[in-house]
Order: sequence, then C-alpha cells, then structure tokens
Amino acid sequence: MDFRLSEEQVLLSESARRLVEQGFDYEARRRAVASGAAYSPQFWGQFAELGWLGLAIPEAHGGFGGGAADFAVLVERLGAGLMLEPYVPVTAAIRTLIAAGAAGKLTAAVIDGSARPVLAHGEPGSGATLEYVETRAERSGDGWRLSGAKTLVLGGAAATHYLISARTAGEAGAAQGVSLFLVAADHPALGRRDVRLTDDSLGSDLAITALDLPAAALVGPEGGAVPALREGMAWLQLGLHAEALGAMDKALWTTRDYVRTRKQFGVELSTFQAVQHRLADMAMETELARSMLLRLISVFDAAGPEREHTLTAAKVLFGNSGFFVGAQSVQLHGGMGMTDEYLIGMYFKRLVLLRNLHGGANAALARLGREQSNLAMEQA
Amino acid sequence: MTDLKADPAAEQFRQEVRRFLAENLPPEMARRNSTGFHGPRTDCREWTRILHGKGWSAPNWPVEHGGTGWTLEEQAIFDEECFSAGAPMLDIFGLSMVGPLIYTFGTDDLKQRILPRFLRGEISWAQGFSEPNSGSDLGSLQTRAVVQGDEYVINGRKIWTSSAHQSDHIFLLVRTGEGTQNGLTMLIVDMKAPGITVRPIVDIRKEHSLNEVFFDDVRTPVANRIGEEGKGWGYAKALLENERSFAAEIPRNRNGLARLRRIASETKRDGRPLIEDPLFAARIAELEVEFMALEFLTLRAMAGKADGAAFGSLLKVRGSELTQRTTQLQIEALGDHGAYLYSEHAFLAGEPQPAPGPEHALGVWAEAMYRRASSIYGGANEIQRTLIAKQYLGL
Repeated sequence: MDFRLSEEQVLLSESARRLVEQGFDYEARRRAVASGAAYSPQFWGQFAELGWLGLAIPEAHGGFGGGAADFAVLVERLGAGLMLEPYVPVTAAIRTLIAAGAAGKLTAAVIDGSARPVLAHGEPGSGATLEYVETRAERSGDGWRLSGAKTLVLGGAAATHYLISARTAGEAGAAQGVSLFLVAADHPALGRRDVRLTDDSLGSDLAITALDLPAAALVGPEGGAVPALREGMAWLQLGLHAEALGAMDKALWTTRDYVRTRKQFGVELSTFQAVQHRLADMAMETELARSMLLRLISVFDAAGPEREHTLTAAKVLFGNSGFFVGAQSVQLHGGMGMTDEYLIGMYFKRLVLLRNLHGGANAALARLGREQSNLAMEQA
Repeated sequence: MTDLKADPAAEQFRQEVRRFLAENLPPEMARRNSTGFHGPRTDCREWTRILHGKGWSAPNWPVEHGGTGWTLEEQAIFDEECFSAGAPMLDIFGLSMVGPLIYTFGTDDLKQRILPRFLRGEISWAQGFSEPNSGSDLGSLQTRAVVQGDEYVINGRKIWTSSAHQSDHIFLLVRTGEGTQNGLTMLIVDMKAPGITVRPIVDIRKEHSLNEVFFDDVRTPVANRIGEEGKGWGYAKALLENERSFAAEIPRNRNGLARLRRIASETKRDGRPLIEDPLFAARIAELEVEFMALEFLTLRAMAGKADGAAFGSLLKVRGSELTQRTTQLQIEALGDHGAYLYSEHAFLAGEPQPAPGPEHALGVWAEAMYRRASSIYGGANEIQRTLIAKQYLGL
C-alpha cells in the first residue's frame, strides 16, 4: 500500500487549505450565519472555478473523474473550516442520480454551480436502515401524488432541487418499492421549512401533503431506487466522515495551542500531566479516525458487503472519537469552551451533530452486533 | 493515497506460509500453544529448529545475518498465520532485541559465536533491564559492572526477568559509569556463571515465569560486551524504536477477537448462544471497530506514512488496551467457567483439563491476567502518553 498523496491530491489539499485559511475563518462564518444566507454564492462560484463541483463526478458524465480518496482529501480541509456550503450533500445527490441512471442534464448544471440537488431521505420514523421509507407516492392522473415527511435535509436551505425518496410499493422496510422523485426546491406545495441547525448551518424539514408531480419527476427505475440511494448515502457518509476528521484535527491542534498559552497557578496548562495525557488521548482518537477513513477509502470503489460493513464501523468510530475530541476540546478550554464567541464550541457542536446523523453511532453499533450474531450462527 | 489496494503477491505468500504450517507444525504442539497458556520453552526451541530447516527462524532479520529478509508486510502475515495455527511464540528477546543488537553493534566474534546457534534454536534468552528501583525510569539502574583484566565483574540484581530459570544467556544493561547517556553498557552473561542466583516470582496467575536474578561477583568476558562501553542507553533506545509498527500486536488482537467470537458462540445463556444477546454482541462489535482502525494505523506505520516515534507509543497504548478489553470480555463470555482456576502448570504437567468445563476455557483467564502486563512493560502506558504529548503534540 502507498499512503502518500498523489501530486494532484497535494495540490487539491493545498488549494483547499488556502481557501479555508483566507475565507473560512470563524469570524467570517459567524457573519455568514448572521446574514441568514444558506450558503455563499461567492464560495460556490469558487468551488466551480476550482473544479471541485465536478471532482467526484465520473468523466463519462462530464466530471473530472476523481475518486473517493480525492474527494476525502478535499473535504477534510473544508471540514476543518466548518464549511457551511452543501458540498457533500450535493455530491451525494448527484452520485445518487448517476447511480440511478438519471443524472441527465443536471450533472452539467451541478458542475457549473447553477444546480444544487440534495437528498431528502430521512424521516421522523426512520433511522439507520436505508430501506425504511414511509413517504408514499401514488399514481395520480398522468403523474404522482406524494405524501409524507422528510427531516433534517442537509443543505436543504441552499438546494435548488430535492431528490425525495418515496414508496411506490411495499411496506416501510422492504428492499423493493422505493423510488426517487426530483422536485424543484421552491415548489410551492412542498411544505418546506428551513431550520437552523445546532451547528448554525441551515437544513430543511419537509411536510409533504398531497404533492402533485408530473410523470417526469420520477427518476431512475420505479420501485428500484435502493441501490442508487445506497451509493449516494455512501458518498454522503464518506464526505461527512472526512469533514469530521478535518474538524477533529483542527479542534485538537487549536486546543494544543490554547493550553500552551493559557496560564494557571503561574504556569502553562500544557505543563500539567493530566492535560498532556488528555491531549494524547485526543491525538490517538484522531489518528484512529484517520486510519478508519483510509480503510473506508480502500474498499469504497466496490459496492458490496465489505463497503457497507466498513461504513457502519466508520459510523461508530467517528461518532465516538469525534464526540470525545470535541468534548475534551471544550473541557480543556475551560470557560472559553462554553462561549458562543469562540470557535472551539462550534467544533464540538458540529461533531455532536455528525455523530447523531442517520440513526447515530449506537444504532450503527447495534447493527454491527447483529452482524456478529448472524455470522456466528451461520458458521455454527 | 496513490494505492490502497492489498498486494496480490501477499495472498500468495500467505498461502505458502499456511501450507508450511499445515505440513510442519506438530498438532500436539499446536494444541499446547493455542490455549492462552504459555507453552513450554522446549516447544519454542523445537519450533525454532523446524523453522530453521526452512530458513525461517528469524522472520525479522536481514538475509546476511541468517534471516528471511521479509518485508514488514510479509512478517505480519507470517505472524498472523502462526498465531491462528497455534504455533509456539518465538524467542522474542533473541529475535527482536539482542539479535539485532549483536548484528548491528556487535563484533564479528560475537556474531559468529551467538547468531548461528540462536537461529538453530540452541540458545534461549532472558532480558535483564528492569531493577527493583528502575522500572519505567531505566536510566536510574544500579547493577554495576567493573573491568578486571579481560572480564567484567557484575554486582546487583534484576527483576521481572521472564524465563530466566529456563534461559541459557541473559543480556544485561548495567552501570559502568555515571549518568544515563554515557554510564550504561550492554553485556551478555552465561546464566550458568558462578554467582548468579535465580529467585522465582509467582505471578498474578499463580504461575512461575518471572524471576528476580541476583548477581554476586559474576564474571563475563569483555568480549561479551555488545558495542562500546557506555553506549548501552543508546542501544536500549534503538531497541525501543525498533519495529514500532508492530507495537499494536495486530496478529495477537485478531486472534483474540476470533477466540472471543468463538467462545460467545459456543457459550449458552439461558439456553441460547451468548452472541445472540444484542448487548454482548455490540460489546464485541466495539472491539472489532477499534481493531479495524488499529489495523490500518499499523499499515500506515509499516508504509512509513505514520512516521515518528510517537506512532510506536500510539500503537502500543491502543493495542495493549484492546488486548486487555478483549481478554476481559473472553472471561465474561465464559460465564461460570470464567471463575474456575485452570492451572497452567498442571496442564503443562500433562493434565489435559485441570478444571471442569469446555476446552475453549483453558488459558483464557491466565492470558487475561498475564496481559495486564502489556500496558506496564516496555514503558508503561502512562509513559507512552507522555511521549505522545512530547513527540506528537510538541508539548
């Protein structure tokens, strides 16, 4: 194995680092949040110019054909800056559409920055199981009528389109019967409400009541969207873990710098062994998380049980390690960690939010436990 | 990350090792050594002799010194296959410590006298570093050696010396001058030399593998010094940094997890396999997740991408903690049988089942107790955390 970054990855990583340093500092983020804007059109335009919006899109679809590793290298940097822009959700949505064989002209619009589709998949009653979809779509005239609810649509407030999962057949957990519908985000009957999230980003919540859509809104095979959703969710999780890693790394070194300058009892906090050991534990969690991300990347290209297993394991590890590093960063900052004004608390809030997405780390652990039992029973 | 795919040649190598083990590892030896009990030292020697026939008795040494010249990846594969086949542990003191010291810093005379015999399984080693007042603070050691003619005369005592009662030679870190940097020297001593007294220490398992060794005017030729006088501290440090990418003991941990799953599948709770209990299964899964990350961290270290001494500390801390959590959960999985004392010395004396219960219960508790030492030896985990703070975080 060769873990060295390629030349292109070094350049990618460096240009992202520069952008984050120049434009993504915490004060700028606070101003962006205060303005109420869901994302920065200026940054999004820069992402397009730098080729990032097409990075994780295959060449056959007009993109730049970057792989999971390139995507993760870039996103880790953006995560270190607590990016508000919906780069990861948009990439996940376009990968879902591509997997469904239904990307069409939207791909070009994503690459040039004019379209920002995002997945609207999670529901009030769903969790860690991809197939659990209660929202229904029924034939109505020539088209479809959707009813149900979607929660925590990441990037929802900045989106131009929602890619909504809904059942055209089957019961809530069935593997068959899930379909995808592409809907303009400003559709008047959507029941959309933008919501401020705990990390100050903006998501959306959809209350879908008798939403009438034309036949063309159905994208991909009717009732057969689960494989495409699985692909899209894999990209979403890969990206969110890479963001988490960037955030953990930044929180770790910010805390390291803080304890070297803050004095109590006449000496720097960094001279106390209790503080040193806590930071050592944070460093270990961060390096294990980085290792798990690399492991995920190593199996990412082949969809299948090993990738799913690694995604679930990564969900557990990032959930626990991310929380630990975030929480201990607050702890070691003392009172400063409790303020809204200083950045460290925001890293913690972001890491908590990421931990609890998609059913949370404990649901992932429970799933791994079931896999253990099933495997043992098969072998018996 | 230019290439994260496993090398196909590695799988071929794995098959070759597996075939060799199937054909050459005596089944009785495998059974004795896969229980979690310490196998007898005679098995270690015999297995070394068998491996020597294939040229494999020093997996981590370069070819010019009689080793295999294997890559780190090949060494890791060999270790894994040996673990899962139940092969005896090789003499780690010889292989990873004194052997490399001799071929790196030793005289030609020392190389010729010692290395070939070790490779044939004719010499077993004890390590004499720790003293009653020098544990993690090795620089404070007090056992002293002074030159008289062409001999060193040694006085003092060493402690926690594994297998001293079954070893032919001991390599000692002794004081020949003042201070740490230039005051310590590495010597080889014949365990049969007059003036050596070995006192057994019965350990937490009620077994004897540790000893206290007393040196009372013990003589060893100056020709048995490794490297230069006064350079011992540097050599000892070189050892600690040697092969740090193996510090997480991935083969041992993989094997421990497999064993845990096997026990939890075979043990019944209220009539059902324990592994069907969702909470217990999740506890196993937690360890599996940690293992998956640690295995990749090890690969990064092997590829030189997670460089720096701090990574050895990091791997050691998390690897030893994982071993301890795994073996602890193994005891829990045994249920009532986890409370039975399965005596290692009775087992080695020929009693196949020293207490009632399933065969998989043998040695589980003994191993779990012994592994408490893994966060103590080689620089306690507290020391390692301090090293991480210094070397990784720059504190």
